[in-house]
Amino acid sequence: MATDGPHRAVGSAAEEVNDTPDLELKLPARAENVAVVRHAFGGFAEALSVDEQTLADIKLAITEACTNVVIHAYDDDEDGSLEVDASIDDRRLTVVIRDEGRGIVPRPDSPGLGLGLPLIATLA
Amino acid sequence: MSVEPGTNEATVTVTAGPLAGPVLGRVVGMLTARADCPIDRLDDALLVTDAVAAHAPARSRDGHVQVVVDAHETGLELRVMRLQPDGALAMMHDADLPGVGNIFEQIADDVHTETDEDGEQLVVRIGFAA
Repeated sequence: MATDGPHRAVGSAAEEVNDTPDLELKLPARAENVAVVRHAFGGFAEALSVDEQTLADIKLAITEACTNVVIHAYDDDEDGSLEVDASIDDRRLTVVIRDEGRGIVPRPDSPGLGLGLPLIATLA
Repeated sequence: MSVEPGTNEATVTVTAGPLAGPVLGRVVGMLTARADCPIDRLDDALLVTDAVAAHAPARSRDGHVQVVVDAHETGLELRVMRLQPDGALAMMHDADLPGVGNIFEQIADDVHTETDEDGEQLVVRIGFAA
């Protein structure tokens, strides 16, 4: 896992996604939409014949990153966006999860265990 | 960027090709199911989505299929964006099946075309009323 600016998390190879990703999703940053993103990647993987274990890793990493957006990016009363870009290049998948929130800042009251980013780094 | 409160509109942009069908089908299926759509209309929504995935790539302006999905408690709207000039009308014609008729017109409650600065749009609305 590498971060590319405070609002942007890059999974897999920490390279720039080309200008026209193979898949772009833009949704409200709500918990229920994390499942929509997971499901979309199921279709993405089906079309690309990705094996089950790799797909499970992809879904887990994406779920962690999207959940970070839902939980941390916006205030509770703020309805912000969750954007996901995915590109395939030379059999490598690059995923960018983006929000327009407050960025990554220390949060003593965080409800999470802080394991999401290390987990993504392990899977990518 | 903020999102209009209460809406659950999703924008899906996918490379025209084999990715379009599986990705669009799953996103539309999930958003529609979550909107408490009756099962028969869920099936209709997926048929329309399949038709969009099948015909939009050939009419895309830039090699990508972009669909704005708005599923709410009374219905579903699919807005196919960034089409070539006359692409929306051509998509309609492409969806004519011999002996069946036009898929969009047979299933949807409203089908029409619109134009904005990004190109033509095909708008398909499916109501959930029993």
